Amino acid sequence: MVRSATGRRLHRIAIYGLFAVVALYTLFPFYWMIASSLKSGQAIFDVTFLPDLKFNNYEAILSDGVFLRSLLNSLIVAASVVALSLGLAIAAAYALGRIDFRGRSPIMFLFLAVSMFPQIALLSGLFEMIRWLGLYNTLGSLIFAYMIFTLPFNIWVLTTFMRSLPRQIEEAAIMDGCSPLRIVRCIFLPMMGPALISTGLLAFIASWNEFLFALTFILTDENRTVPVAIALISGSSRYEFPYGAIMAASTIVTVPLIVMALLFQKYIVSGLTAGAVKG
Amino acid sequence: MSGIDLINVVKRFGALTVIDGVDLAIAEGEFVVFVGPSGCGKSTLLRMIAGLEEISDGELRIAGSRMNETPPAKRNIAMVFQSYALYPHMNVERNLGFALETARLPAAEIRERVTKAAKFLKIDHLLDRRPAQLSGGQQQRVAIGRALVRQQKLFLFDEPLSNLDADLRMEMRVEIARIHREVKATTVYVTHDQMEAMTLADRIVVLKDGRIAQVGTPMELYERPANRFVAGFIGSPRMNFLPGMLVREGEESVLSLAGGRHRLSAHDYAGDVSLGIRPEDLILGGGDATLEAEVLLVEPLGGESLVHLNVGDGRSIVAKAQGRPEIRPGATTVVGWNHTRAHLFDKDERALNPRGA
Amino acid sequence: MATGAIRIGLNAKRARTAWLFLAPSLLVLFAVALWPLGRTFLFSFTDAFLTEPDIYAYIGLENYFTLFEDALWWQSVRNTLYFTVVSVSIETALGLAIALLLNAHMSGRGFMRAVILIPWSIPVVVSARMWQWMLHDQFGILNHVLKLMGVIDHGIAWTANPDLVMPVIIAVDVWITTPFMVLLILAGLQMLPKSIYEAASIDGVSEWRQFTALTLPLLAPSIAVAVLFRLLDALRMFDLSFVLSSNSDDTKTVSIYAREVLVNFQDMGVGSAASAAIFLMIAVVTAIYVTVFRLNRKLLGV
Ligand SMILES: Nc1ncnc2c1ncn2[C@@H]1O[C@H](COP(=O)(O)OP(=O)(O)OP(=O)(O)O)[C@@H](O)[C@H]1O
Ligand SMILES: [Mg+2]
Repeated sequence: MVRSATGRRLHRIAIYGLFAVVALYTLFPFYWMIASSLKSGQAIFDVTFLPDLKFNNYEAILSDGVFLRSLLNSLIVAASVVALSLGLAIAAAYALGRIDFRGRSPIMFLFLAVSMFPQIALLSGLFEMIRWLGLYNTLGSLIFAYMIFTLPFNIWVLTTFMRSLPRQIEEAAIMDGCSPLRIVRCIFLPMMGPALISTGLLAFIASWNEFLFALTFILTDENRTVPVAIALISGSSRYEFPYGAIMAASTIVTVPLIVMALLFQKYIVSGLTAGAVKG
Repeated sequence: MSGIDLINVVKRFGALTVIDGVDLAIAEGEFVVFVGPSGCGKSTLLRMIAGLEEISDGELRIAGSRMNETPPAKRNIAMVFQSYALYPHMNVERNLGFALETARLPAAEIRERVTKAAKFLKIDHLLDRRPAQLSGGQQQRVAIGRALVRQQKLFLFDEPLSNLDADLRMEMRVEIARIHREVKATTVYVTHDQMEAMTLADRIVVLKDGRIAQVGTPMELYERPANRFVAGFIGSPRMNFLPGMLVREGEESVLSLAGGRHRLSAHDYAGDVSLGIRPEDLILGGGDATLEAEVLLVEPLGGESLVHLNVGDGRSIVAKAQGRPEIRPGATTVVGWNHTRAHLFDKDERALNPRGA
Repeated sequence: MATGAIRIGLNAKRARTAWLFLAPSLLVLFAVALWPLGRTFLFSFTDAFLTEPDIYAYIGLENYFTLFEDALWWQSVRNTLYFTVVSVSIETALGLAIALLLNAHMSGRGFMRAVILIPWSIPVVVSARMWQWMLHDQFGILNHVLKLMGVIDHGIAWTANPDLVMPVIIAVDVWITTPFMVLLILAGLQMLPKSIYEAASIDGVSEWRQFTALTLPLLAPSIAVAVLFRLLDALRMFDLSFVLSSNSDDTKTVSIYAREVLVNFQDMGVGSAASAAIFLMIAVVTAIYVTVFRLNRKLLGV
């Protein structure tokens, strides 16, 4: 279709206008969160669009040992989940992606089905299992429980990726005398960078953000993760609700994720789509 | 001792039989080439020797021992792949030394062997590069080098040169011949390229539909193809075939073709046959036997020309002539051959020989 | 050489390697998913209490009778289904629109893609807190702006008003998860062959026709898969309601209901019955959806 020059310009303006609307809609809440977190004391209750750049809220929240502790907990849990789920998934993906054996398809199906399990359906059984393992009210309970949503997904994505690696490279390694373990470690792993980054990031984000298990399997403040900590911040009455502190805590939790989202946008998107849009 | 024996080897993929009872003995130090049309099972047979495919039935022996269940790494085999299959994240030096590293050889020895192989293949100036920084020919050299450093007695090649352009292919062909001369490893080589097969092979194995159609030296296959398939497959341009009928007449046999009758020495066989004559054996204007033909096209190739001829019934044949013959398309000419250069095949496509031959 | 020894074929050896490599993952998934699921079903037929889960007796279907007689359970089922249908529909429509917008060949697309990722990547709890603050009845920015514009006189109690709380939750969910839809649909859009559009343009097919006749049908499978993922997510929604309106029965989802019975009332029997019912509900929805849209092949990718 041929458009006139003015028509094209209008079209462009309209599209950029829409871009702006979408960006505003997406970003304004963040702006407001950060702006509010930078207002001190009662100033937060005056609606002004510009922040005061007062860091009282941050000082308050960061001097609170419990919040720092929960940040550290979240970090430990997320990092362990990434390491463990990737380690397990890489081995499983080699089996599923490169070896033709009877039972492959049913197992793929099993993993897919497990990834669709609603977490709530496992809660009572998992509760029992975690107690039995002696993990109740420890970070270990979360690392263990988070395997439900990270492991099948990682296996799925990495299997697809492994399958796309050239067969002759593996065969060359076999002829060179490599055991399967060595093939995975020395040949495939270095070739899987992008897929590992994608799945690792997604596992990190999912574990960092999880709420239901973190709320249920952790009993005491010093073992909580950040989302629960933020959800449980409360004031003595409705009118003393510490929104400034909550906004500061939220900002602290969000910033690493925003940085990650901006830096690794490509990997996150490709991981998401690899998991969902299978060709 | 590092010969290879294939004893009634069979490969099935599910219900599909891909290799159907292959018997073959490869002597130590021999250079054997597998040829055959695409999908005939060359790679599969090679991969069974390597241990990359399981053998469904029959036995594989290397140096006299059964190898069916032996894992590839323990068969003392080095293999070069069509896609080179270099490890993309390792530099040339590590690519070459990786197998030795896996076998936990001392670093000094690895270095020495890698350096030696690299010198031998003239890639010693590339040791620091990654595969992606190499040309196709250089990658091929590294792939061969990777096989060489292991100093195995057995080399397998699966179409190693088919990703190279014509010049490089020739160069690497000479290189592989040199390596074989110097290393003297038993070699099995799969190719599509007749030139490679004819120049490199001690013996050629022609495969068809998972069976051996013929085994022999290049000249045997060329001079005395055992069946019509091999006759057509070996030689370029391919052999011309004309249908005919062979009848016994006393102490002689008579071959009737569309264009005439020809007396031959006595054959035991009588019935439908096809006559095969290579383009280079056709003589424009002469020979023991002749046919009338119409010139369709002359393709000059420089030193020689291909003359396409219509011999009636819409059948066309190709003759190879020296230089540039003085004939024009549309002209009528006589084309002939000598009986000693003619091949006869019975209705089952087996080669026919005169009685007593 | 190998005389007498059992001969194990190369394929069998490789298959053994496969099982060996799979074993740790299978073990973990068994412990973390399959076994707990089985136990949940088992507990749903017992009178176990969370404090002492080892002591229980089988009581047949009694927990299910209790559950199905509870009006609150049915309300949370209705809430969940309503939330799922409305939010997923809006997210799909909006996601498609934004994806088409981003797919227009314009500079700034990469930036927009990054921007749009942010709401999805942060904790739902944080999003909920953020919106809770913006929607605050007295000090919230939204009421402030509406008052400035003269639309309202008094601040609206967004999350306390029973008629508004569900729409609010849906709106926040749309803000959180539309990006997911956009990204998946965008990926689908970018896989569409360019040549058919060129051909259609040459044939003089209008842009709207190109959209309805080419883009939508070709995109349908991608959308269908994305919607499935969202459906599964929405049906088990927990955190948003929990933080934004924890005490409201109007936004109680089945997940919140089940956890409440299980953890707050310590009633493992009824709680497990609710969990089991949710599992079956989601399984049925998934099965129907996958069958209707014939997604088996696309999902399994084999
Ligand atoms: N893993 C497999 N499963 C099923 N069939 C297979 C498998 N590998 C090979 N085949 C079939 O076996 C036959 C022989 O294959 P092979 O690769 O050995 O042929 P080839 O002679 O090497 O052909 P080309 O010259 O094209 O390389 C083909 O028909 C092929 O389709
Ligand atoms: Mg082949």
